[in-house]
Amino acid sequence: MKLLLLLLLSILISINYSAPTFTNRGISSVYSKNDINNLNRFISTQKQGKLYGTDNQQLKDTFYAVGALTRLGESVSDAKTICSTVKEQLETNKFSDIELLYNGVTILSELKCIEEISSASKKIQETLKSKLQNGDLLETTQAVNIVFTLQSAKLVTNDDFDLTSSVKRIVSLMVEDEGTFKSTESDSEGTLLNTAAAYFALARLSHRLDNQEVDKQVAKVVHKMDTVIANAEETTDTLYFTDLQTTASLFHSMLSLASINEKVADFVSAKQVNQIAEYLLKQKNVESLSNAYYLIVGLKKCQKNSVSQPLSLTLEKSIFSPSNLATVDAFVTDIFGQNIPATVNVNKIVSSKAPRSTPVLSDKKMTTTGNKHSIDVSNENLKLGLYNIEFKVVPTDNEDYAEITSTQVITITGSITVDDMKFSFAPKADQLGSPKNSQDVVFGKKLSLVDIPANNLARVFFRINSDKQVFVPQQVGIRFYSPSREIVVPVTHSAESFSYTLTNKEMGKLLGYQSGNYQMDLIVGDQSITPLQWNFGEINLKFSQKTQPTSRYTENQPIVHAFRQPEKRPPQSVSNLFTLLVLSPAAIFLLGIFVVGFNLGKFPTGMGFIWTMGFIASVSSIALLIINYWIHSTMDVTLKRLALLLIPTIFFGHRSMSYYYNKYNTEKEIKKD
Amino acid sequence: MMMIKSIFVSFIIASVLLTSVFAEVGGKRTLVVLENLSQKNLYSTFFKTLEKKGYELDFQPATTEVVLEKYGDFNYDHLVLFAPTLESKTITSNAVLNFIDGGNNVLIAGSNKISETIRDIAQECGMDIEEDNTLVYDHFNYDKSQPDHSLLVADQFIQDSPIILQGLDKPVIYKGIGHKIRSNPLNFAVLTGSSTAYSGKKTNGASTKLMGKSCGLVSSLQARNNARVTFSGSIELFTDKSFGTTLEKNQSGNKEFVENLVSWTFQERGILRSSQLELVKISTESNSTVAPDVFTIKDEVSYSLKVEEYDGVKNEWVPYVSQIQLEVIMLDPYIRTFIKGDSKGIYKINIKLPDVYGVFTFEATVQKPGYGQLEHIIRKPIVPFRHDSYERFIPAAFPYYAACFSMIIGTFIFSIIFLFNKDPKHIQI
Repeated sequence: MKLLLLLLLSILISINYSAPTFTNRGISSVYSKNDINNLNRFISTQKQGKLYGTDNQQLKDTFYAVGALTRLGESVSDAKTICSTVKEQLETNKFSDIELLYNGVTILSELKCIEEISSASKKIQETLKSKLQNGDLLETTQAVNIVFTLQSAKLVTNDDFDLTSSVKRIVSLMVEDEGTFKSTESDSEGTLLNTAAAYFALARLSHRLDNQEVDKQVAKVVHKMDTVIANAEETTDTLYFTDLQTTASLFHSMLSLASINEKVADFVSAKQVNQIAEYLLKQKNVESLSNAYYLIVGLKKCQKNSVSQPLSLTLEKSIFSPSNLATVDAFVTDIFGQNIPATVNVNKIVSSKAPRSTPVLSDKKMTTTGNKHSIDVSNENLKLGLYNIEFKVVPTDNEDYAEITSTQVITITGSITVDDMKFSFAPKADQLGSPKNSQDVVFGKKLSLVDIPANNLARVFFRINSDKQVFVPQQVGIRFYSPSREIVVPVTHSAESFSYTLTNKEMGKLLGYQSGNYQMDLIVGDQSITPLQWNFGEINLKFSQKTQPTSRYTENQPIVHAFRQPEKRPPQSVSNLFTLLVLSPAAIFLLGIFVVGFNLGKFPTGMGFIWTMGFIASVSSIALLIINYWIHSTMDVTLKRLALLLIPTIFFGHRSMSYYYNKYNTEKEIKKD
Repeated sequence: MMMIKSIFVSFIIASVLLTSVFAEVGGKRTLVVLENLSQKNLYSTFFKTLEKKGYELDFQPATTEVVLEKYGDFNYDHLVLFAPTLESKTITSNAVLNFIDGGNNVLIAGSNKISETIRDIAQECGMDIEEDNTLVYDHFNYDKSQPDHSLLVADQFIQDSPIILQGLDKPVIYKGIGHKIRSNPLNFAVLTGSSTAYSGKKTNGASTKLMGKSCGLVSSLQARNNARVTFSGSIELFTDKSFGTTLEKNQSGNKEFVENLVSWTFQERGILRSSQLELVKISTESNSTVAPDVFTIKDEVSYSLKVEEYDGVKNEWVPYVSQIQLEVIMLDPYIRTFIKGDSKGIYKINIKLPDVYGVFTFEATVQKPGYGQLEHIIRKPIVPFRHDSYERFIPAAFPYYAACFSMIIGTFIFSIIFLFNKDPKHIQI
């Protein structure tokens, strides 16, 4: 049983510890005087003629411009002309368009010239009554706002209108499940902009009417506010609804409701106000008059509301040198940079590099002089570096403002020295420490060229000090560079010293195997020191591998095809000579025949003559065919013709042979006889 | 009536085909993904510049389910990812890589926190982004008007591809995460840190291993299909605030840098195309008259190609006047030559074909940093000489011919005389 209780207790404790707790860190920046001036300049550039903005919606743009300027307490130039122009436009419209009327009445009210339309109060009342009874949500809420504006100017009274029924009408347009408001009964879905308009109108109605029935209706609406807030989109720092207009108007109306209904504070937390404030501060660069108006509406609501008003802590100075380090001064301001009375404590000062280390200083109250809060840190012996200071701000007015815990960074800057620098190289790592392989490098001087053999290792060793104390900078690197290659390698830190060992293989890879001389720079950088770049030496590196090109694409060289050379032939004259030599036996033969003489007396006669001549002619034709083939004909043609020539050749050949055979037999028989 | 119908249908099909062909370059449909839509105001100048150029911007929050591709057609031509922590159901790394494979362009901006989706995309495109919660610092080159040493004054612009930044020399104010760019001809380190820059932890500035010019700030990928991907480690680079920053009373180069970078990324320049190829035979050593158009070894041919470059500002193709490389390849290049173009972008050369027969590839290429890939390939067979292509009479062989014919004639005469000669003695008998 005891064990069970212990287990239960431990679970409860763990749940308690693991529950997310919100620490109000305040807002990271403020809407400064400079921002206001920028906005003022932007609005002035938007003035065209007598009013602001473009032609088709000048009254609306003027409403935005005047609304933003008056909320910032800035003067509106040429206000009288604006008043008369607005009045003219309303008269032209006969006070019938509710949106135009809302914009116009608001402008006149803010420029304090609303009495200019006092003569038209009856016409305005007719329009308002009509819209309060039959208008859609936006028209009704605009009519309610106009009523209150005119009421403040004593141009109408509450008795002129049935505002209680308007409350019921507005609340009836709430979508029960979602808590949002639709424009008309026939609509199926509500919108966040409608909801903002309804919230604001209900807040004003509840405040002015002071009626229990109205309060009940408002409570019904507030009850559903959590589902409306669920539509918000959230990042780590910010929270918003769709866009700037929706966010600002919904935020403004929710906090307006908060002033008449305490339950709103259950749904809108201080954290959410902070997040919305951060979101609004990120929208400083406006590009339209409407955005300018909604930005200021939102920021003003951040500055004054009943839930939580964001605070900011800013340092007067954040960079110090050890010699002038005396006090750290801070100011506590609201979102517009207005000083807020408060008590400030320093929870702790801790090095940025080791935020979880023992604080340099803890739990010390800052002295307050006017609006400035100061703490003396001259005796804390702060070394060079960055320090996180955690402030706890307790506002004097603890009803409007909540406590915040803000962390700011200060920098202690100074100079450094590089001491005990040694450059060594050796074939093996354990020989690098030997004095005979090392060369001392004096801080500020340069080592003469060192030739490092390909199979050797090299090492750079040094310490970095500030005021004779070890200092570990944020950045320590060695730059190796030649006209075509450059690399920077990080230097490792251990046991209060720095060293870098370079191997041929690694350097080759980094430098694309480009052999040659390389300059060496030591680069030391830190936010808190004057950075150092020191050319401390030059080395010669040799790589056996092929150098990698530095150009993006391989530089192709032209390729010319090498044609196969034709076989060598003898000169023409040699060929001709040989031709003559080859022909000479035939010539001698022919000459010999003519010299010796011949007698074709055995040539046959009669039919034998015909057959023999036919045969000789055929054989001659074949010879001519071969010559023809050699000169220009083709094998195909030649063979066909040869086939044709073979017929007479065989025929005449056969007849000739037959003739000679018969003749031979006849002569043989004659001889026998 | 039927004829009119068929002409009408043909016209529609042709129009659709032409549209799809010319939609490859110069498309303006752009999807802009933001962390939330309210951030649109932060980059209003940048978006207005794009809109002025005719880009149709579709703004979507990172949470919305946007489809990049449907049934093989892409719904957008360009994608702007201004949501460093993007983890979307539809815009996944695979979807974006598929979008890039389709020849579309992507501009990604990061911050010191980057989602796995963005990391995957960058990695596939040759860029290794540093770990979350790191920034690039430079204790030497930072905006001295601010105490923040991560607000760099960066001026290490890409040198070998002037087309990207068009000669910009004004330094840029940069604050963001670093990345390492892989050694690859397709990757472009558009902006890097200086020799003294390094990537350090956001919390205490302690350096990581990435230092010097290896520390990429803005890098791009020019893919082989002409798609371009740019990654900037700083989303702040595109803000109105960044455009208005000054450096020692001079305007920073941020606005020009971004405009030049984005116009290149969105293929407004540096895209090439080729047309009007002419490859004809001028002269031949072959004596054959059979199939005169077929290329024979040792033929002299004329190669002519028109190359044009896309001008996104004028939205038209203009002549590309530079140099192209022509290779005649059969497994290995047999001929490689460089052709200079005339003012009309015509590249013409006469070449003698090799004395090796086979199927050859005539490949014209342009490899110029910052320009798209251009490869014009045509394959042609080169045949050897026919039996009748060679010379008919070889003077060196005349002795053989003479021997042959003298033998024929001699034998013929000798035979006649031998057969029909009547001996005088025999006559006397």
